[in-house]
Amino acid sequence: MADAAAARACAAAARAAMRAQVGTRGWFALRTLTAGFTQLAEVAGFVLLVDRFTSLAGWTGPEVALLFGLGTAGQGLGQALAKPLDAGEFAETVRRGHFDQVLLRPVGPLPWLLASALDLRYLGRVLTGLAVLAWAAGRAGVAWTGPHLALAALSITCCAAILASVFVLGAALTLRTVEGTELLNVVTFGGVFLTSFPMEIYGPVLRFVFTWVLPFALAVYVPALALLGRAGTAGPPRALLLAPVATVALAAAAGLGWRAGVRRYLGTGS
Amino acid sequence: MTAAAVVDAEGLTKRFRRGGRRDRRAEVTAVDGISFQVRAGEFIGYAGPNGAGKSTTVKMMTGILLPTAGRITVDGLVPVRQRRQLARRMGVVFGQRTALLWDLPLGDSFDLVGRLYAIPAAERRARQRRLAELLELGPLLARPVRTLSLGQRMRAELAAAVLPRPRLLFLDEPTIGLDVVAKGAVRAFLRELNATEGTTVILTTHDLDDIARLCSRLMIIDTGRLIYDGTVEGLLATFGTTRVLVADLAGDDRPELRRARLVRAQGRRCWLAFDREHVSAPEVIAELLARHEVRDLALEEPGIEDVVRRIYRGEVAPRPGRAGAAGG
Repeated sequence: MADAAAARACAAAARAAMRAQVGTRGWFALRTLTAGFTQLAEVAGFVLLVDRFTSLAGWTGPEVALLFGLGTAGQGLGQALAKPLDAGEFAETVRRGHFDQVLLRPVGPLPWLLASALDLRYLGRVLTGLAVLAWAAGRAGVAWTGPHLALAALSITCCAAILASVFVLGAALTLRTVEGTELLNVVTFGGVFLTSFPMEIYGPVLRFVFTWVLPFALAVYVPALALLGRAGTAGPPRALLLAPVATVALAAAAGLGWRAGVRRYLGTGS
Repeated sequence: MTAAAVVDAEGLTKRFRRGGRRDRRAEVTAVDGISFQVRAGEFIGYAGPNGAGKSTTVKMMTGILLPTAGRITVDGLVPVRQRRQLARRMGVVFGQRTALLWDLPLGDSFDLVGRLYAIPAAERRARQRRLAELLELGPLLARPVRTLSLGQRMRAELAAAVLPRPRLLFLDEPTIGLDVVAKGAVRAFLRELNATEGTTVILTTHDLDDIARLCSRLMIIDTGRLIYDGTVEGLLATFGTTRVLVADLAGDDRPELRRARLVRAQGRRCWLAFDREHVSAPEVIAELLARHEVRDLALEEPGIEDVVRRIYRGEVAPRPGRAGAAGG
């Protein structure tokens, strides 16, 4: 009963956040498009580069672009959901005392923070990612059958959830230190960028990290192999179910880390 | 604990570690074993110099900071452990932060508060109408919060905080930066709220005028200890014993009296201070009239501003603990 009320309150906060961002419809469309185009320029450079070499560790340009499309869409979704917990931004929230105000609300601080700061601009990234994915699939001869669509959706969702979990862990760390832990950006954005390339080009350490610590490879690389019908030569086990399992495990760890962070914050204050 | 105690604190203490994590010597005691009770319906002013422990106490009362030692209950709840439950019964306004939706019309903020505290829609509308009337918010409801003036915004923050009918209202510097008219509006509203709904109000402020005009009881904290807990009148009666006689003399000579000392002179106007405890005003006036020709006389009573400033400076030292609790 109380949980249902809290969920309704968070939904209302999310709607308010969206209304605030959309503002005048024209502006919102323009901003989203701008974000999308910026990303598209990045993509174009990337594809041109890959195209020149004709192959990267045995992957063709369109095949790499497919990886990139999945990763970019996932990253965009993760940011739209959890960007306010990004280390730099969240440190500011704590320092200015806004987090204290969140704690004074009769709902859980994490859902309230996520809902009231939902950032729609990043959906532009999701659109770009999907566009690249569609283009790359066409060039690489991937047919959009039902299972393939489900696999792409699973890949994007897991990638987004992994990124969001890392944001939550970063925010939990910020609650302990009240310092901007910008170093985490290397992990999050670096991680997502690096997983846009085939795992074959990395050494064993990075492969291990992207499989078992930040399971981006399980969420992006393994599903991409299945979509492309490639065997793959390196890295993580080929079990598709590992992606959701690893994602849920990481999300649970993030949840525990968050609780510990809040407890610690209540013990010391800022 | 009496049945009607809304806040009950016993030996409340907060120590922070500064610098080295394991260095015990680097500990700072922000709040040092304070005890007090707040009864339902009281309007309390909580004052103290910067860094005295005011906001640390408020954080412990509102459940966003765990005490190092001591015991506290607020409306029967243990603040940190039952934070969310307590949040339903409590309103908090920070003068320098906003709890409103910055980019949306003010009405949307009230709407969200209604959902957050699960107030039935009809009840919320009635309550909002009443608050809008009291705080003159009607014409502002459709305006984005960011376009409101500071005074308008503060009235809106108050309305949002009391919309769910909290039993207890915490206010942190609610009149900071406001002009005279806006201050008056905020004070009138708080007085009305306290009187008609019986809301218990705890106000931290540097503006002693707020306290003098609103509060039935004053608590002063300094270096983590409660150095005064009682009525404003009691404070003045106990520590504000220095009165000043202002005299306009006919000549240029400076009076030298046995019963009062000259503290200031400007032209032919003289300020003569004396202690009410030892000397009465007629005695000083009689001595003055006997020695000088006087054109005009006025008697100045000490203000709260004056007394508290002298307490902060250490010129007057109330006994620690609950000494001077004239009304408590």
